[in-house]
Amino acid sequence: MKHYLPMVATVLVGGFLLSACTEEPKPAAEPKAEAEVVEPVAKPDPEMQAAAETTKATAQAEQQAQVADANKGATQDEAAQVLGSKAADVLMISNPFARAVPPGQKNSASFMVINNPTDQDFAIVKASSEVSDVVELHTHTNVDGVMQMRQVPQIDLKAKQETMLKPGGLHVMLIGLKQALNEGDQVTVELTFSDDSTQTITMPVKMIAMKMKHGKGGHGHDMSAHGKSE
Amino acid sequence: MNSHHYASGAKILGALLLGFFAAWGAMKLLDMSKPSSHEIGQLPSSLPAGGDYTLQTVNGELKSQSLRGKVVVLYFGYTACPDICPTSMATMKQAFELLKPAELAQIQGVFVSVDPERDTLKHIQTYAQYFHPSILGASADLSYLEKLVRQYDAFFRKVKMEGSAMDYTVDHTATIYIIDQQGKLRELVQHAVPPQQLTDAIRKLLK
Repeated sequence: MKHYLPMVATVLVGGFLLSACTEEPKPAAEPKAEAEVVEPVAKPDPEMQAAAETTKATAQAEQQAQVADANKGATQDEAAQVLGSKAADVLMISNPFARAVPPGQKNSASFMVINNPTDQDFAIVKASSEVSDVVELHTHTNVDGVMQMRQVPQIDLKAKQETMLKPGGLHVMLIGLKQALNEGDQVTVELTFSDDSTQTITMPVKMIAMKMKHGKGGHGHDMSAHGKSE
Repeated sequence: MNSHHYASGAKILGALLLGFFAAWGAMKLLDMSKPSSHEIGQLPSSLPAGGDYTLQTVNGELKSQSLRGKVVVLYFGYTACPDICPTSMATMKQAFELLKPAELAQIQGVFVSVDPERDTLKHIQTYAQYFHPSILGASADLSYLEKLVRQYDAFFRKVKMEGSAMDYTVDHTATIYIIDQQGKLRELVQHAVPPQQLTDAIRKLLK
């Protein structure tokens, strides 16, 4: 037994080196999607840039007061860069919309593009809306063709970056709809950011349509009014 | 060789094997962190078997045999799905709208809910028809569905969502299956492709 342990150690190392040198054996067919991948995906997709009619989201009165405060000690240009600027004041939210759903549908999702021009990282940590019982932050990952939706604790809004909330990826999920979401309706969603500032976003309800020709997985939102619904 | 030598030989061999598998396991773990090479839109080289099915709809049984003579566009999803399924259904709707009425008369869309616990047949039908009148909503009991999706190399599973108001979500594949007039699976259309691609795939089978 005395000689056993050093020998095992030597052979373990040897075994590792040996296998490291050889080609990695092809693992046997894995059962699809056993891996629990739960990570937010925020790949910028230039095609999503569709009609970015930068909707000046309606900031709350208290935030405007804060802007005024921030502006006191700085010039207009510097204001956005002042450390301690409230996320709600500096983030630029464009193209927000909620997905129109069939009658009797309990869930929907809302999407938008959020640009963080500052040097500070922010995050969406909470959301709420008057149209649903609960609002959660979710993401989708495609694991070998299996679509996996998972709740995420927050949606990161990294400094100097644009974060896309879009079909097939990150979304603000509306759970337990209290009303039908028909194309043309307006809904509001309130986002709470990592610095506790909040922003209420008014957005149209849209029937999601796919881009007809070019682009893989791009989504356009220029669908004409939807016809038959029951 | 005496028994002592045999024992050490076995120990060495065992340790070698152990070392090898430990290393292999570690490399596999490393490999799993790499992004999958399986891209959306990439077609597998061979088609799944496909085959016949009997499903339930709000208007009674739907036997795939009764759809012979039509091109069937089949999809597995669930109505509580907030995003992936509506995207697939929007693709189907738009692809169908690109067809001429005479072509439309030769096809049948079928949305199969793999969440019969939450989805009533009535709601599945409402859901399917919301997207296009040529889409039927159907389902079956879970054990039947599990068998059926295997025929199509599709996959779904319930996943408990701790701390979410959703209770559970359903992981699922989002492939659209195109079945010809004889009931044979002919083409797979991947998630979120431009509708024209689905229309083209359907047209290939139309006279």
